[in-house]
Amino acid sequence: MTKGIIDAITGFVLIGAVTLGFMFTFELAEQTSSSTSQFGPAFFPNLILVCMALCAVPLIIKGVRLHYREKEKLSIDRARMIRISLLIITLIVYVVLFLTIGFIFSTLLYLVVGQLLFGVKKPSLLLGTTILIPISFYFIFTTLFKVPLP
Amino acid sequence: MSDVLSGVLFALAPLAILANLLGVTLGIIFGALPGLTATMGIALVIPLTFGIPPIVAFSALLGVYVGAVYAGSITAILVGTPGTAAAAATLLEGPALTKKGESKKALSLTTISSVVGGLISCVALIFIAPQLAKAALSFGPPEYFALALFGLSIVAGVSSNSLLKGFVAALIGLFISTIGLDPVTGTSRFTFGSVNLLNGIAVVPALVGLFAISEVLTRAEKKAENTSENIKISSKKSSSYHDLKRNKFNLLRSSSLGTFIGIIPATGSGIASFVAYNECKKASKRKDEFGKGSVEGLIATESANSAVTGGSLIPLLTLGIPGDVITAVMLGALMIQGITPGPMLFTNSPDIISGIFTALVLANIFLLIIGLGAVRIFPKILQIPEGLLMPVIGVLCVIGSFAISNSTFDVIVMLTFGLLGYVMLKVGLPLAPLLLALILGPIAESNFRRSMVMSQQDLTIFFTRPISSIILIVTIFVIGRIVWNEIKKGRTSQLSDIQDVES
Repeated sequence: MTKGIIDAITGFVLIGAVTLGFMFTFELAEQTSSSTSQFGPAFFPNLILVCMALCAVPLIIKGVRLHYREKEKLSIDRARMIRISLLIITLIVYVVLFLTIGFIFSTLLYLVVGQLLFGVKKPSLLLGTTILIPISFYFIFTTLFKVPLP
Repeated sequence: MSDVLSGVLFALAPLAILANLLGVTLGIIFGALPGLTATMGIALVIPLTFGIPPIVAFSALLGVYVGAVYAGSITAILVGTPGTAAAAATLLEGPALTKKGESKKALSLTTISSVVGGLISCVALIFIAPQLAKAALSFGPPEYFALALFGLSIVAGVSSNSLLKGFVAALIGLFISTIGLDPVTGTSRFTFGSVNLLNGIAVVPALVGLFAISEVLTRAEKKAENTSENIKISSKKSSSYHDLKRNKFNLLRSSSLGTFIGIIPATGSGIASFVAYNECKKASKRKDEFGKGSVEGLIATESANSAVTGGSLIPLLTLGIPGDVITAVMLGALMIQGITPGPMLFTNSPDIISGIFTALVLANIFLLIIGLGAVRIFPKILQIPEGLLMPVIGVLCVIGSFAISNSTFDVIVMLTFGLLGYVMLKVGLPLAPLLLALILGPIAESNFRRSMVMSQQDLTIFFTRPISSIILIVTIFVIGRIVWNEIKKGRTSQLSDIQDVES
């Protein structure tokens, strides 16, 4: 994988998004066809989509050109990718649990996994933070800021 | 007059003072730690300010802003890594002074210069903003459309190494800003039947995700590392008084430059400090000291970067147009307080304006006290383990986005924008244009559509009104220059590639 390829892929994704966007704005234009103004609700989104398409084409061209000129390929660090993927999954699970089982328990679980992913190994630090943070934040937000946390 | 006085008194009330003090302290922590930025700090504090009086909220936010802009230099001086982008110019002189064993003097001079810069910018804000607001009272939809377009195009143009990517990021933000009810006809757009999307994407959860969650994910890529093992402040006694006395014109010039640059959209502290440094070097009689630990150079960079704080608030408060990403985040804070910045704010709520001015002056005074009093604590801040800090920031993002309106949907918006921000950073798309477009998009669209209603669909309205035509001509000129520079940059890199191949 090179930086050029990433740029080209970004350009293609944009083209895809523009196509999808036009499908929705077409429906919008049909809904409001009775409007006498040529600058209706679909005008601005359409203008943005046209500009996006105009930017996507040179992004693809520049990306392909860059790919052939680039000597260095971007290395993929498997351990780093696994760490990031796990952190993303942890964050998603945390949000789901926050909304379902509540703040304290979800935060306890998230902090343990989150700190381990960030390389915290000292048990005292891990335990101390995991217990202190949810309780103190719960107190601060519910008592001082009057935010009813789930 | 009584409104103005009540605003001042409100900012001097114990609760506002406490908020200001806590804000400055938090700002120093955020600014000093590499990876944590002023933008992230303010974004995380905004949800906490919901539900408290606007002046107290702004005391805290301005405290964070002033503290973080200043504290980026602490890391630059002590460990040679700028805590924030604004402190990049501090690297020119700060580390060299530490090598000479003058870190304590460097930190004291940084504090005093920052405070002087900040206070001079406050004076400019207090005198210029009301005049500009008076002039802006005559602005109509065409002028506001022109201003929004100006802000958008400049920011998209200069916020990234690639003009094209800056524009792509701004266009993504603009498209997202069209979600919700159409500002003129009320037709729902891209809501997919969701009631939560009718009012559009909430700016605060979006910016919390964009700037905090994406940073947490980016930091997770590297193994957690401590910035410093054992940093010690030199105990060498040296007075800063004579240095300051010798540099009074330098302080004034650099602070004025910083304030002026702060007013211009898309510039910011980083540019201001480099410009002030160059001007200081040109005017200096001791040019040979520059780069080797020059006190003059350090005073110039530090006063200029802090002077940006007051300058950048001028377009935000008077026109409602944020000039950079921090003021865009501040605009988000004003919005959740139900305050619409612009000339009418000066007429309708002089108490809020005077409260904000007072809070900014107070924040600079607290900065002086904390900065000079806590020099020995700074190395301790740098030793907070990243592995502990980043997961806690994740928790703050979740609670913060929930706290704004007790909405589970806002938490989902925050996480979605966090992931979007991370992906954008990975493919080289800058985040600042997206956020500014998200904020300026509705201003641009609603004022464009209103202008069209006013002129009966005649596009020449933007060029027949003098102020809007001047703003548009300046926009076209600046964009033309940015495009020209980009083309020149492309040609130079092609030429060097050819030379590489030939050699």
